[in-house]
Amino acid sequence: MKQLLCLLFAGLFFFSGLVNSDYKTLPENKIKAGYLYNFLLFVEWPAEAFKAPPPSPMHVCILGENPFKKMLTPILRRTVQKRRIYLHYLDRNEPAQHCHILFVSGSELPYMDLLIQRIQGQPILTVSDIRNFVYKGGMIGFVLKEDNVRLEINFGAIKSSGLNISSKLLELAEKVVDD
Amino acid sequence: MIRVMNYFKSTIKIKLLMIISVITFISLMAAMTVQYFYSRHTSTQTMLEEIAVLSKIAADRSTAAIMFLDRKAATENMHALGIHSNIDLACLYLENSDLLAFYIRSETQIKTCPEMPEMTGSYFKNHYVDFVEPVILDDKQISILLVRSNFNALNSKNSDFLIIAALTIMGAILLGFLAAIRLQRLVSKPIQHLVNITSNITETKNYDLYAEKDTEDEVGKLVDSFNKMLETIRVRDKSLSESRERFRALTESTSDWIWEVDTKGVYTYSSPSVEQLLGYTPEEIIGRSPIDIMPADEAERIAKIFSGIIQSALPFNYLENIVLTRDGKKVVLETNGVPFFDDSGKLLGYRGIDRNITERKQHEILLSLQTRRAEALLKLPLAAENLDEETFVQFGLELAEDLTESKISFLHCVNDAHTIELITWSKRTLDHYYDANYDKHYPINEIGVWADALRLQKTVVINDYENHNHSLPDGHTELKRLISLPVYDEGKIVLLIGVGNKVNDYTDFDVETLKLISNEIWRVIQRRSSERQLKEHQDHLEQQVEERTSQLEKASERAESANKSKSLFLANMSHEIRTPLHGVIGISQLLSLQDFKPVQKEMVEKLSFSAQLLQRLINNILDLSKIEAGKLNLKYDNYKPRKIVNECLVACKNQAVEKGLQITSYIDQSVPDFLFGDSNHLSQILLNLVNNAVKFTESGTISINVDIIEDAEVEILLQLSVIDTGIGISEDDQQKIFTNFTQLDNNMTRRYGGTGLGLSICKHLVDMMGGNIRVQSTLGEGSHFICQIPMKRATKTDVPIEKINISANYHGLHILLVDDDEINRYFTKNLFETEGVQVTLAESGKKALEIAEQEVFDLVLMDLHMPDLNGWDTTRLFRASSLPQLSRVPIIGVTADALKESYELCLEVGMNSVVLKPFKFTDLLQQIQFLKDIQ
Repeated sequence: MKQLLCLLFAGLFFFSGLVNSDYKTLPENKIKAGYLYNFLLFVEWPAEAFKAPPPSPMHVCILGENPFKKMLTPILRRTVQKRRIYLHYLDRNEPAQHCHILFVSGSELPYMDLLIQRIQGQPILTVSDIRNFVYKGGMIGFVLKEDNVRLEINFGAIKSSGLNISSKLLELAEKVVDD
Repeated sequence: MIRVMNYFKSTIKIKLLMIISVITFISLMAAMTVQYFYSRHTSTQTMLEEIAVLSKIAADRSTAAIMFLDRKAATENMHALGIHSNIDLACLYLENSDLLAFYIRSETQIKTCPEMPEMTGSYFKNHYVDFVEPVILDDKQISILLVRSNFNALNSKNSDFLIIAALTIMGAILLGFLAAIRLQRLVSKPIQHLVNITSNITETKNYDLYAEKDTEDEVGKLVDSFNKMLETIRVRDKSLSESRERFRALTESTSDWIWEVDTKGVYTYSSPSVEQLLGYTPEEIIGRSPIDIMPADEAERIAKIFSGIIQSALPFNYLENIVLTRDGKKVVLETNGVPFFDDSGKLLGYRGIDRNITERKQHEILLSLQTRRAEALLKLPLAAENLDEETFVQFGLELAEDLTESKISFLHCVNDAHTIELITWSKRTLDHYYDANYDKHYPINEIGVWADALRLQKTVVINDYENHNHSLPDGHTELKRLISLPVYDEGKIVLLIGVGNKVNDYTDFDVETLKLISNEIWRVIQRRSSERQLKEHQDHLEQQVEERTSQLEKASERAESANKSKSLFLANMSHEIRTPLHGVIGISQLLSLQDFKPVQKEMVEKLSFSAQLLQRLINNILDLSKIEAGKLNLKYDNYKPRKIVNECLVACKNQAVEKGLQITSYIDQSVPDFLFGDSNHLSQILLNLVNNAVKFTESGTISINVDIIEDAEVEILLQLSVIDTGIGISEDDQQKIFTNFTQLDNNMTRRYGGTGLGLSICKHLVDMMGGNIRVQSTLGEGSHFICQIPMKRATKTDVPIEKINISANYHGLHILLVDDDEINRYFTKNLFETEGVQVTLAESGKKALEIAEQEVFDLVLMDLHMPDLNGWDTTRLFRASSLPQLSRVPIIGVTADALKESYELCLEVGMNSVVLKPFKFTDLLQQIQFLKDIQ
């Protein structure tokens, strides 16, 4: 038990280091990478989004140019509701149906509309730091405010895709749109 | 303390008031206190539960804020907690202990959040309680929430409660007080009435009063009980005075002493009878203890017993003790006592009765002495059986000492008018009181007062010896008291017995005891002396008988040995008798072959007949003597029963034919051809019976029947019957005929001749063979002799070699005949020569050896009894010789000596066979043929 606790704390410290320690000085991408993981905790996917019950994994996909470098790799050691987490780096034409979270890189701006259209109605949480992402059909957008990374949430898009977002997360949002 | 005293002294009224007030107060106080603490506890509990729930909600609401590090949202959540009036502080920590958000109530003294607590849970402090709540997300603790709550609201609630409680209590006490005033009137008034009556009774001692009753409740019952109690007291008073009167009458009328002692044994009560018993008045006794009025040694004993009794606190019975009366007389008391106790069970003392048993005790002692004396007197003669005289006397003296409680004792024997002889002192006297050598003889006129019994001729009892003339031997212990007693026998003093040095004075009883014992000793001494004489006489008789017996035994031995030597002599004589007879018969046989004139021939025939008669007679006599001497031995071999019967027929035929008798034989088919048994003696039996029949039959028939009456595989019972038509035998005589030397009367002997031995020999032989013989006869009509003899069947292998052919040719056979008797040599040589046998004679063993060395013989006939070198020794020399014609030649022993030993010796020394003289020539020839065949 004690060993288990130690292990747990070690993991927490690692993660804390990732998200919290002196977060103002951290590059914003590192915070965003941590937030990607946090979304897994506050968003509920419908059962059909998984091929099998736990520990069948959750898939986090990065579409386009990867801004996080290796900052995402710690995610692979974590679990959410006893599910493992897999990372996928997708090219723009690759299918994204299996993804639970799809981070749309800034490099995909020109193709974004097409992409949103393609995956619309599917239980895929789309996240991006593209400006006004939530107004263009995206679900969660990162915005910078007073040097902090804040969220914009498109509640309508999330609901219509069959996902369920926690009210706690909604409370934190800078803006909640219902597009 | 004083207040408590006052309480007990105050009236029931006051007590009731006080009790009701106090009870009301205490019960209300208790109820209020319980209520207070209970409600305080429940409200605290409720508050804590509220805050715990709020904390959990807040923690849960804050998870997203924590994960996304949203300080603003977190702070909002913390402030939301501040809505609860008891929450003073709420702090939300990140995992790295950094504070994410907090809330502090502005009116409190608290400035900042404390350090992050390490453990979750509730922590109660004096004025507040801390809830440390973990923030959990997806089963992982991501943060910690601290919420601190005060108890302010509770305290204000409590003060309200106290005011209400105080007012309630005061009201209740007032009500209780009013109720108590009414109540006390019901209870205390009748009780007061009882109190008045009781004090009246106490003052006047008048128990005839009654209390009046107003109600039927418990107080009414109390009054009833009170009246009943008064009644009971009146009744008890009466019975108590009666029983006291009864006790007094009892104690004063009984001769037994009733007493009471305390635990120290001091009399606290004594019945008046003590005066009659001990001479003390009850007043004198009370205050003393039994120990005080006892002799010293008894006091010591009783003190011990009494302390044991006191310790056990049990009743005791029949304790015998001796006390002294006022004027110093000893009284034996028998005491019974029971303990008595106070209400708490503590022993107060004993009560009991003493009974005077002095007289009974004396009787008991006397009775036991008498019993002991009787036992001793019984023991004395019994002891005499195992003790020698002195030890016995000492034993008697010791008994006398024991019974009279004396230390010394002695016994003297009165020799004559002038001296007495000491038999013995008791052993105890010798061991303990007398260490000088003593002279056993005392002249009467010189001895001391202890011999006065002799001089005065009466028993002397001296209890003050020091006042008398005493002459005692040196080393004699000093005498103090003495009984000296004469023992009479036929008016004369025979013994002087004495005991001495009893501790107390000697009494008549002691004298009587001593007299009885001394008489018993004297009786035993006398009896022993007569027994001794009787025994001597008996011993003498026995010795005589023994002597006579041994003489008789010797005589009988002599007679027996004489008889034996007679038989032996006869047996030995047979040789001497037979040898000449042999000669006579042999020569008469030779003579009958000669050519004589008819007159001469008749003479030779008569001679031959007489010789044969003589031979038969001698044979019978010798046989009988052999049987009697135990020298006759049975010889078993296989034989043909039919042949035996035929031979018998042949032997008797001539005689029978001469008398004109017919003689027949019948042999049953069941009789086997061969049997195993002593054929010689069987043949002798048959011959005797048939001869006998021929002898006593004048006309008619004699028949011989042979049959088997019991047939088994191995053994059979052979029956020979000889039936004649002769003179018969009377029934009386039938008993006698089988005894030795019996013919029925002398007439007969003369008329029929014979020794009368034939049947006797038959009987002996049949007995030896294990058979029986009897006769059935009617006088004048004939006799029937039946003889049954067990025989064995001959097995096939036992069948003897068929005997030789008598007509065999002996021509050319060369025999050496060794015999010292000239006649024998002569006729034997003649007999052989008629058969064509060549015979060389040797008159001695020595001669025989010489001849045999020169010449080779086919056979040697060796006489056994020869002077110088006898037949056996000669044979030994023959056998020992290096010449084969000596060592190998067949030798047949010829002897008149029918003894078995001789026969065995013959075979031992190396003879091949033996023939008995006078031999039938044919027998000898058979033997020769037999040996020839073997060779």
